Amino acid sequence: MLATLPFLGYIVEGLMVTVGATLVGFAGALLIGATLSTLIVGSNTLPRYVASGYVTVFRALPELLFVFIVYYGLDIAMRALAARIGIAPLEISPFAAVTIALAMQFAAYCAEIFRDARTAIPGGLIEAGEAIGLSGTKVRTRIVLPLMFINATPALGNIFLVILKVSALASVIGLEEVTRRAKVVAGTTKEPFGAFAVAGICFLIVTALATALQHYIERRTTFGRSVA
Amino acid sequence: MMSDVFLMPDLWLGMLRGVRVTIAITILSAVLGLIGGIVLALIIQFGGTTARWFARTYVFFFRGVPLLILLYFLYFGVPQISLLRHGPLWTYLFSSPFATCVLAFSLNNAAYLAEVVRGGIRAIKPGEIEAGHALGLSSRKVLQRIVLPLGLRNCLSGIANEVIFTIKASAVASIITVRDLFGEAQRIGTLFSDNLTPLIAAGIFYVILVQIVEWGTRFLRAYMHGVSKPVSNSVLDRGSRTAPISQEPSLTESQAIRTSLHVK
Repeated sequence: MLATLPFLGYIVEGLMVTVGATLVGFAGALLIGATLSTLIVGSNTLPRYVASGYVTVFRALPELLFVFIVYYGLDIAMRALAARIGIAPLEISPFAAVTIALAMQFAAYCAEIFRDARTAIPGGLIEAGEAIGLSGTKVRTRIVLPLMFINATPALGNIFLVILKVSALASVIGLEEVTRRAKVVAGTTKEPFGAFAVAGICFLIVTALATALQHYIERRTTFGRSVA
Repeated sequence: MMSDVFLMPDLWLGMLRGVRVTIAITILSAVLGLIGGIVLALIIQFGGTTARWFARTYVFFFRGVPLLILLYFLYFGVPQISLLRHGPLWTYLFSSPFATCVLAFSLNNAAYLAEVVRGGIRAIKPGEIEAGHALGLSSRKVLQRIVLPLGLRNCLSGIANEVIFTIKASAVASIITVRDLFGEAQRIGTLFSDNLTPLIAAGIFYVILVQIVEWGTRFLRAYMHGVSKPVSNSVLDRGSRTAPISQEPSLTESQAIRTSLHVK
């Protein structure tokens, strides 16, 4: 157990990478998810089918599988592109591959969340906005979007925690985050028990902090919960 | 070329071999996890203070730690304890990657299913449990005949989500050398020096598996709903509606959204 102690800092530093990949992936998922949800509720048939097909496929694909598909796929695409233009192919960094994979995969969940959050807004509130003479844009930005985000906060917080945990899979394609570092340390010290215990505790602490933050945000926005 | 590998019989035979392992892991760990989850949910809902604290800590712990780290911990870390390297526990559990996977997924599933089942139990109308006691059923019979059947029926879709999650998460098993669907895909990829095509083929299988679970759940829910209908229209139920007993609040909007996800 004691041999792990000198490497404690090394493992904990990996949290920067873990949290970084999680934040970037989460932001990307929110953006793509919001776009998808507008397509799903939209009136155009083709985009609607494409968007709901996207959700079906990405909710079923294992995260690990998709991380690999993105990693290999981007590499092949880069080589083909480089051969076409005649330059040396760009190296795909594991960080880029993981964040792209996380963003694309969890966009499917975010789309569902946004759609549910949108339908949970009572129609009367939107009608009230129109009744007092707000324009369509104003109704959207002042009523629909704020209420939608308030409704979606608990589920989005949940998604954030899931992305945090799934980002551990990035270690498999070589991203130097907590899990990867724990594995390196386990190999050096021959004490996998301690190394992986430390990695697990790192994740528990971040999870606890993120949950506390989520509760704080939810408390701050309860004024909307009573009407929505 | 991609299309060439797609037409190889070896690819699809490998996929079929792998899908059996994936299904086996999923069913075993879903059943074991459900048993654990029910026990934990009952402890959290009806247990004493200490037991409740332990169950809550278990749930927090296994929900917070990534599955991959849990798997590494059980597969590489636990065998470091020399006491465990002998005896039946070692022979049957920790020396086999497959058994270690099932253990890790079951422990993880139990934590998530505890929350799901607890939600289902809380959604039972108190009047139904009170009615059981009023009829003179023992606490054990009330649990057997009322709390568990109704509670599990209430959270059927939550359980299905867990099963789908387990199918997806089982891809992690390949990292500790289990030859599941994903492991087979990687092996075939190395064999034909084409990494991408087998992964896409495996992806198709995963999508089909998940769809089967979704259809099955829809069918089961429709079936159970049909069975339950006459009961909810009975005289007893109408009686309680005229004299309402304090009821547990039903699932809020946010909880409903939370439970509609296939993730944790």
